[in-house]
Amino acid sequence: MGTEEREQALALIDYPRVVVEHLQALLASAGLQLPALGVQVALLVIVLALGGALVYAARTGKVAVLPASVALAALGCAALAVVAAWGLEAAFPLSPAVSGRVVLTAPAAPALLAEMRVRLLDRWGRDITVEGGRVDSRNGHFGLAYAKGLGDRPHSLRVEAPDCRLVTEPLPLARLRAGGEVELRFTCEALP
Amino acid sequence: MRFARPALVLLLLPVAARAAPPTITGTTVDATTGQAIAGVEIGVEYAGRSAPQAARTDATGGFSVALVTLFPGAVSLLGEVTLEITAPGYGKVTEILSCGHDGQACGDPVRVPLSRVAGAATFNDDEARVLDRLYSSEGRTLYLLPYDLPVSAGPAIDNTAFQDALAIGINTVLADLQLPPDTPGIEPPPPVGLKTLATIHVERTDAERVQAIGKRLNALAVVGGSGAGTSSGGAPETRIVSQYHVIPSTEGFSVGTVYVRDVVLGTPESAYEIAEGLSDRWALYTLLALSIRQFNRARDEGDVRGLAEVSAYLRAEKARWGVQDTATIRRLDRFIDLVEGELRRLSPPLAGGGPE
Repeated sequence: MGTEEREQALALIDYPRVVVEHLQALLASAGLQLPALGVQVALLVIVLALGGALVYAARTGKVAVLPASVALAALGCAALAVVAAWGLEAAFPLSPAVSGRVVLTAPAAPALLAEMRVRLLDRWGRDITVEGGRVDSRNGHFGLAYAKGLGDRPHSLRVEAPDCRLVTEPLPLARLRAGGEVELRFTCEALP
Repeated sequence: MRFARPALVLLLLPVAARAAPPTITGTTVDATTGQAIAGVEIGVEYAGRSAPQAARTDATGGFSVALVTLFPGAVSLLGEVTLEITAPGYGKVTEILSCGHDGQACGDPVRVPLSRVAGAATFNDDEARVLDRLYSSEGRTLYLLPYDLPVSAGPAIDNTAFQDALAIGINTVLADLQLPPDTPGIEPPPPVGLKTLATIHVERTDAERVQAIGKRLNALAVVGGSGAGTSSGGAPETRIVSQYHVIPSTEGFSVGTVYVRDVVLGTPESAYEIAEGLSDRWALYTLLALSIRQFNRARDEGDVRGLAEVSAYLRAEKARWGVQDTATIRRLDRFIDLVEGELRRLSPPLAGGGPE
């Protein structure tokens, strides 16, 4: 499989996750912070409740059978999509680790790399790193493992160095899925 | 049941092999001399747990860390072990080893070369931390030791006002540098920064320690001085003598420690007023320090444009001085010759280039 086909296949696998992340962002804008699994369960509960109400309404003759069937089919598709998303996540899980390299873009104090930390942050900016985070002072290499909290994933990387401003780099889903080394370019912008 | 015992042994073999405590061993050596370093602290992180003082090197520079003893039952998701190696006088090293998820495959003994930090012998840990925090990543900063400016004996000029005046005075001259007309596209040098070295104790006359501090900071210069208030014909004035230690040097040209004398007349009301009266030598020595640093970089990288910029800066600076300033002109000429020699070496004339 060529790189392009592989990327397309991965994009297809990740499509349900992308939809859930959009829903998460939508809910967050309304002040509701839900984990990915929470969004999926809520969606499934809503769909099942609507489906049940629809069946009841059709049986009691409050709704015509044809429109009820169409609506039920649509709700069934939505429920199936949630279940399929769980299946896809189970079959193609994201790697629980992220590795990469910090590249200093300007000469820095000899101790900078040795004192540096890299952290993984979730969608809300919370530190979800459970292991690693130190940077190899010889070559800038780092490894990170994160806590997969209820289907969520890391959304950004934060570089911390003493007396330098924090640098945060987004970690898109495609980049996380592609694996390999993440390259972080870092310039120490001194704190006042 | 004849085969039961051998089978049991075979079954237990991998368990027995896994039960042996995995140990990381290694040696720390001086990166320059290759000599073993004793008393080095080894910190370890594994599987999200850490032991900041897990081991210390012995007289042969050797150390040994048993992961399983240190972190019983730990299983790593990354399979990496982080060693943090610290020794007085040496730069801290963080080394990440790939050791497998159960820490069993750390491989051969590790050899960790440690590099001496510039002037490390003269700094304690607290000073080293302060210097690292003040480090100039761009190498375009002047560091000021607090001036001895007694306010009781004359007009009040404090350290803050004097630092502000220097920043204004030096950067105004650099920005207004009239570059030669044959250097189109070359801009005056960007401004330099000034920082105060208030928490580091150093005598400004201790040139060796000042140079060590300057190198550790990647400084353009370290400056210190004193002033005294006097009265000249009834008008108050402050005489300030500064020691300007230029940090960068290059083979064939160095500035070292020079002196700048300033007389601030009257009672200035702002840093701008002080800046107006500052000696031209502040800008001269700063430009020389900047030029030496850029010359070293451009020469090492074969950057012809960088060298052309240095040449333009120096020629512009030379034009600011009159013929009576023989020593300054001679010093600038010497550096210009060096830079232009390097320029000729890097961009030789085209073969048969001139018109016949």
